[in-house]
Amino acid sequence: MPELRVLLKNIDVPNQKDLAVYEQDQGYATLRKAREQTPDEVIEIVKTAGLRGRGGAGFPTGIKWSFVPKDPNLEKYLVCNCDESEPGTFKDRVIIEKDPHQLIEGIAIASYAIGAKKAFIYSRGEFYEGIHILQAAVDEAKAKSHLGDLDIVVHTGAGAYIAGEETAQLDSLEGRKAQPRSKPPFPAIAGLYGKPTVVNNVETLCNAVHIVKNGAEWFQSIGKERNNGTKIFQISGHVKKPGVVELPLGTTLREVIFEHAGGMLDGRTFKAVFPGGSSCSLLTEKDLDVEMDFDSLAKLKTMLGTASLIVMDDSADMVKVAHRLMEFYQNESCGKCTPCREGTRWMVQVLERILSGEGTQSDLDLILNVCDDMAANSFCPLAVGAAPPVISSVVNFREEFEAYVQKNPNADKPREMKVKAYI
Amino acid sequence: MSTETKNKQSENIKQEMINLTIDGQVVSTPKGSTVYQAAQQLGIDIPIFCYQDRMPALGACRMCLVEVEKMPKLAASCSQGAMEGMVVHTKSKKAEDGRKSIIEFLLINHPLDCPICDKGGECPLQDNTLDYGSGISRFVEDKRKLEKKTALGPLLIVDQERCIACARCTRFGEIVAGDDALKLKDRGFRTEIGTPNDQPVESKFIGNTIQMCPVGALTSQVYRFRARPWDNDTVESTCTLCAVGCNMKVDTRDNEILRVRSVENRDVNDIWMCDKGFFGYEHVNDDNRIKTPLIRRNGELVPAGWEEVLELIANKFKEVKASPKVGALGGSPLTVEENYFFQKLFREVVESPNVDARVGLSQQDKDQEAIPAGTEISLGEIESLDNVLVLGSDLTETFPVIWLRLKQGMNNGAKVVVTGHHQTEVSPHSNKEIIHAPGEEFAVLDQLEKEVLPTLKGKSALFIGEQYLKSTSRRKILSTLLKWKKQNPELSLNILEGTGNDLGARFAGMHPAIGPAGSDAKQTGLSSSDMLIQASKEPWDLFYVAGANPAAKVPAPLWDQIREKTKFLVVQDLFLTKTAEEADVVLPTLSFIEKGGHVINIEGRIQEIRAAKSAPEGLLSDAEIFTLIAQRLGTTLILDKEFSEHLKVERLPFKVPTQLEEISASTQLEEIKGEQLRLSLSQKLFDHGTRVQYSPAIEQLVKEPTISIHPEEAINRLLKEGDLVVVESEQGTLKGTLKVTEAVAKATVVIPEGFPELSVAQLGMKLSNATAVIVKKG
Ligand SMILES: Cc1cc2nc3c(=O)[nH]c(=O)nc-3n(C[C@H](O)[C@H](O)[C@H](O)COP(=O)(O)O)c2cc1C
Ligand code: SF4
Ligand code: SF4
Ligand code: FES
Repeated sequence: MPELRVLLKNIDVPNQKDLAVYEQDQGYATLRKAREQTPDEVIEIVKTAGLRGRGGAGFPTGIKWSFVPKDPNLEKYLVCNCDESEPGTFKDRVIIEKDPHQLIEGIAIASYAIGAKKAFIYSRGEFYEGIHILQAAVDEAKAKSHLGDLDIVVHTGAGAYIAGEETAQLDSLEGRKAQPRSKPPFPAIAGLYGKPTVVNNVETLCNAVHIVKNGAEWFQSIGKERNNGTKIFQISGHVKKPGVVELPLGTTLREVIFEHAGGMLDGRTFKAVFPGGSSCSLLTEKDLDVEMDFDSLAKLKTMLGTASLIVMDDSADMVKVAHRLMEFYQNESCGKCTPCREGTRWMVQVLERILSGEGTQSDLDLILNVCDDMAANSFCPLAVGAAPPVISSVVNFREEFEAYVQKNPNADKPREMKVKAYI
Repeated sequence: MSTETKNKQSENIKQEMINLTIDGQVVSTPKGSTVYQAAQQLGIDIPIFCYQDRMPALGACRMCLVEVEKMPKLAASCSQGAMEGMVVHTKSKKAEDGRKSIIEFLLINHPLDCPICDKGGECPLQDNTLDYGSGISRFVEDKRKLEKKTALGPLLIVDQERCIACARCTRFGEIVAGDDALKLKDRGFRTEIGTPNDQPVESKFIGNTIQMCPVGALTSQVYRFRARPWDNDTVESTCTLCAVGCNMKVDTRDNEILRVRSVENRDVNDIWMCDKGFFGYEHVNDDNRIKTPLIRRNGELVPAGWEEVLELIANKFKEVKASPKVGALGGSPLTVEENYFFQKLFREVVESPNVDARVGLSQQDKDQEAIPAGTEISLGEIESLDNVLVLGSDLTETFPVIWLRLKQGMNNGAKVVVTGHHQTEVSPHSNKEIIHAPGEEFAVLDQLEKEVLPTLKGKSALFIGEQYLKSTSRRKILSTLLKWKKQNPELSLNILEGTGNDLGARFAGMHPAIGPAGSDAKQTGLSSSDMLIQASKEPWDLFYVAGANPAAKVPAPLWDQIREKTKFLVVQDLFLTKTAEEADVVLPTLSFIEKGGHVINIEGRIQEIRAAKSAPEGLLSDAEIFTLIAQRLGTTLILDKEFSEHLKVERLPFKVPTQLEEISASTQLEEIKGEQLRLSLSQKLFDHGTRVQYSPAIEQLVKEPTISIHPEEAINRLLKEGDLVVVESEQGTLKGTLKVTEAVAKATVVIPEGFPELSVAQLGMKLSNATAVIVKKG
């Protein structure tokens, strides 16, 4: 099936980032159309369309918007999540760099729907170029009065994966260290500065523009039931054509990898893939025909997440993969809760030891067990996502781990704890 | 939810209740409670680390995991709301396994240096490990290696390896004290305790964090490695280092004080104390204490026996009996009983009416004073107030723990308006602030009357402090507040003034116009400043000074005259103060930690102090000294029955007159001329008084005192920060270092009291706020 470009339609148009160019293809007309309807009508369209959040969790967007209290005296905020720090994820970046006005129009529509007069774009700080492009676009849209009384602030993060988690993002916006908050209360009730706040991903908000423009039925006609619309897939790893590709939800994994990403590098064979960013269980050869949508992947006990495919061929060393990913989570753990702060570190140490040839047979079960404990009892989903890549690597490629362990002559003996004097 | 919000809710008559089952028992709990709180109602103990019931739950440590039926994961009971019909298991295998896993995670990087850890024996991590820890560790990696001894300022030492990142200490600064003193820096397993910008910790309350830390990560410079808790003897008492009167316990070992901790009293200090309370006891252990009576021979103070000095004093008393030129000064550090004996000794034995515990700058006569210090509400009520007006009171410097109670009130929704001559630590938290020059109080009160009074709804309180009270218009200011009270019956009046046992001294009758228990003195005596002024002009027979240092409280030339004209000077104190150095007889006495008795705090609450250690050999308490002297003169000093009855009530009633008659006494403000500025005296918690000087830990918290003016005033005078300047009043001059800050009102100069190195007393006797002075280059 060919690519179906909706969000990415104009990314290759020269100077698409300029307002004048954006306006040529009905730019901001949809916003005007939305404002001719009541906010509730706008929410209803998005609800009917069945749009699910593209930030990873897949929560229905219209329903999220409808949670915001209608009280006109209450200040409300919209936060656009552009932290994009999940390994393998690079879709929001394309939009803010190539077609920023599409996002701004989406933000304005969503703000109108929930009654927010102030919106924030929280971008990861490393998007240096994108942030400047976004800021220029916001200024231009403001200058040409497209935004009405809506104020949009582009905020730069300081480099933390956890700042992508919505409540941690709110803390960061308020000037604190990014650490997740307890839910309830959910942001829609008490979010930024304690006020009702909707946090939506960049791709989610862009989808809203097209839904309002083309109608709920059009959106439902794409993809599958409960999994409607297109999705920007990002493919990285050992493929011929890494990059972004927009396809209807439900396209098979095989098609994404072997048609759109050009298949595996010459002379290599497919080994495994993380289908939805790094925080999910990997899939192998036998799973290639799975349809890439929220529900089908959930059935395989993995996740669509951000639809970021990290593809590995037969040259991938799964112990190194597990170690590298766990190291990421160790470094990105915010440190608030015990299981994640301590567990990620512990697992990195064990994997390092295995890699250095000092692993023991019992380490493998220890990894499975500790990862379970960590994911089961953590405060937020970061640690929940840290476990599956490692667990699924051990489960699917246990022989690779055992090969490392067997380098250790004492592999079958339990290791003695090193006791050190600290006094 | 904090306990406070819960208290507020329980005031609602119809509190919605919900029912849930925990470990098979049904419990009915107010809506909004957490599972942890409901379990507590049943007496079911759930282990916690990060949760501390004075702060909202954080849910971070995960120690409190429980199993809730129909929930896919274990729930953190401290933050999990209790819901109708919920079925909770705290002891199921699943719940216990969850908690075991948390303990395992907490221990893998914990140094387990229990044998040398201060917390050992009173450590929640130790206790929970006993309950949930596995005997064998699955962790065979290297433990995290971190700094074992980082000093974050003079009092606090952190052992980064022991920290379990529960965030109690950092949240205390954010939520309870509002000083943001500590921060968890970096993230993940690299998380460490630090301070903003890595500066020495800035807090008056850091002792509380040491007390709250559930492990031995935070220790104090003073107690660190000094004892194991089970070796300590503990006595509960009351702190008398300021007039809040925090309840405390004193730990001693081999008769040496090792540390002070707070004791919960919801009516007074809740569970808090300030660092003066935590660490200010050190002077008691100091070797510079006077060890024997001293007597002046050939111009030198030399040791003498008690017999000799008591006999000498008794004989002097006989000589000066009924002389009008005799005075008794001091009493703030003494107990109520001791003050009672002190005034009785003078009024009845020496037959002198000149007794005054108030030794210092301004002392109004009874009429000017109008209403003495005290609070209408109890300190425990502060956290449920809706509105507070803080008028001219530097709360954190004078009544530190009242600030903590007020902050809790603000967390519960109280609105706070602050006025004064300079900004304070409360300023950033206030909803409205008016900074104004001394003397402009009435304009400010007018403004408040128009803008703020009409908006007050619910329980409101006025806290009026020394900036306003040390004004010549004190009576008129108070009469305005009484008028407000008439208009708003829900407005309470709280007069925050004084320190130590000032209220107790007054109640005992150490006041020239007032006898015991508030009776009128049979014969009105001279106030301490009138005595001192008189003694500077004409020969004076005798001064008996107990727990005061008048030499530091009057201009030096004036003191020289007083000393010269005073025939006999007795000083009774812990240390050889400036006054003691010039005495004829010096009597060593006991500190508040070595004796028993009663003290009265700012609320008029009568509290007990108890001896936590025995008296140093050869020393007598103030009470014993007074009794022995009286005995030699044929009088037995006893507490009379009627007076002791008064000490049995919980709180003395705070009597607020319904209105104050205008009196003719001058309330006119002196005109300000040309270059003059108005003086405002400020107070510092860590001043350079004797007790701080001999408490090495808190002495390090003393900041160099400065003379502060607004930048505009500095420019007008061609002065800049750091300049050496001279302040001139009509009566004297004072040299010091200039601080230029926008925190101070224009037309104002702020000078702290309590620093020998910047002795504001040099500017004259009877100084008041708004006294006109000149500041110029020195
Ligand atoms: C550790 C972590 C990192 C996350 N990072 C991002 C991110 O970079 N961008 C994003 O949109 N959502 C991220 N999320 C998901 C957000 O919490 C939130 O669900 C999302 O922004 C909601 O937007 P949506 O409803 O439009 O999907 C992250 C979640 C977690 C737990
Ligand atoms: S799981 Fe815990 S430590 Fe990890 S990021 Fe979430 S709150 Fe922070
Ligand atoms: S120092 Fe103590 S109180 Fe502070 S976070 Fe660490 S363990 Fe908790
Ligand atoms: S006590 Fe509940 S999570 Fe820490």
